[in-house]
Amino acid sequence: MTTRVALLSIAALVTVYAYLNTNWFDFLKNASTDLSAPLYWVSDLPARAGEWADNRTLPRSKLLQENEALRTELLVHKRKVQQMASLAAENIRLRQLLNSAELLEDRVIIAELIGIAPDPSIHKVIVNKGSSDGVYVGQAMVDASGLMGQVVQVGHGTSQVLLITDTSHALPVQINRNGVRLIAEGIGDLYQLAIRHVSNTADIKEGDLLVSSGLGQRFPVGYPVAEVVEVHFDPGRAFASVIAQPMADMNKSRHVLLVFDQPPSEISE
Amino acid sequence: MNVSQRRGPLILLISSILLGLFIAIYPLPAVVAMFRPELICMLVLYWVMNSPEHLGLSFAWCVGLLQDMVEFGVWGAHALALTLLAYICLASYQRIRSYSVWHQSIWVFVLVGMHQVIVSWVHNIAGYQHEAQELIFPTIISALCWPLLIYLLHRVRLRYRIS
Repeated sequence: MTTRVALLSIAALVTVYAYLNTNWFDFLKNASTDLSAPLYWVSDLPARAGEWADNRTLPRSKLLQENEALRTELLVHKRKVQQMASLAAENIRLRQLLNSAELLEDRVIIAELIGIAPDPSIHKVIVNKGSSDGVYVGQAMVDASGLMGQVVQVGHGTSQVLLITDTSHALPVQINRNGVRLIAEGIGDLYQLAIRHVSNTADIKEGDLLVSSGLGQRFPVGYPVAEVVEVHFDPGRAFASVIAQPMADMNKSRHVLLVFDQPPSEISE
Repeated sequence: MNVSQRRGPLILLISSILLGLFIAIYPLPAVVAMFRPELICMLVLYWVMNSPEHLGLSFAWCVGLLQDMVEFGVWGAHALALTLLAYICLASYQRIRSYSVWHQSIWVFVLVGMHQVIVSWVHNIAGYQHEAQELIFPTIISALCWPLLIYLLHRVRLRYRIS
């Protein structure tokens, strides 16, 4: 029994090592997403039943009111899009003048959160779209207000998404105001990202919007990531300490978008 | 009759583990989630102590890996913790089984505490940090829930005549 416990413990530690540092388990990871999907699907049932009941019992007057509000909002957005069309055309013309590649318009699918990792320090969620919908590993997930995370495991009908606030996650960003490139790192807090290696002379201040820079070849360019909330220049240290707050509602959004910035066929090769 | 006698415990075992996994992942607000009992760990302790001749280290290892997969954690963390716990149980089940239920709870407190420390140690390797209260509150709740778990499983076994 003592040798068996030693062998199994070593097997567990090898599993830990292999999971963290190698890609031996890649084929199992997708299968494990499918394995856990039914549990999350069932655990999501009460929330969905509540939503369904809410929809069914909404009074007519409230629906009319909501409809009116949505129409107004749509009108406002449509006006903005009218301007967008001419601006986008102008942008493309200018880019052609500069001989740079055209920005492709992103295609998205709407997904719904069906579960979150139970451990509060692990920031992963499971969404109800998988390989049958064309979802691929590395795909970016955004909500209505900003970037949320990237797909790390794809099952048949569900996939696992690592949020940008997870301690194992970092992404390249740039300041929208002046284009300074930085790295935003998760620190295990849903409301905070740490910006690493900001030199003490960098032009960064509170209220700056950080957008994805696309330099890591992983996230599409230009999605809002976070807003700088705290900058502390300490002459005694090599780098300034900067804290930013994610733009996305990391723990509220239920409806999210998965962005296809490359056709799935290119990825699978 | 003979077949159902052999199948009964197996069905109870599988359904209890499934229920444990379900409770482990059920979405709860962060404040409440801190008090979630480590049901999977308690169930492994229960089953290993109740049928040490059938269930042992490999059983604990597999359940642990299953929990890691389902909880999106680091694979191997719970497998390691539960294997070591099962080892302690196998070495001392005769003594622990003869204790009163509340006395057993103290043992469960120590064992679940060990489990929490080992899991958080492995999570630390991956860069995830746990607060001390995230480790201690589930341990206390698990120890307090132990008599309830024993009672419920005992009732189920009596009701369906599973020896």
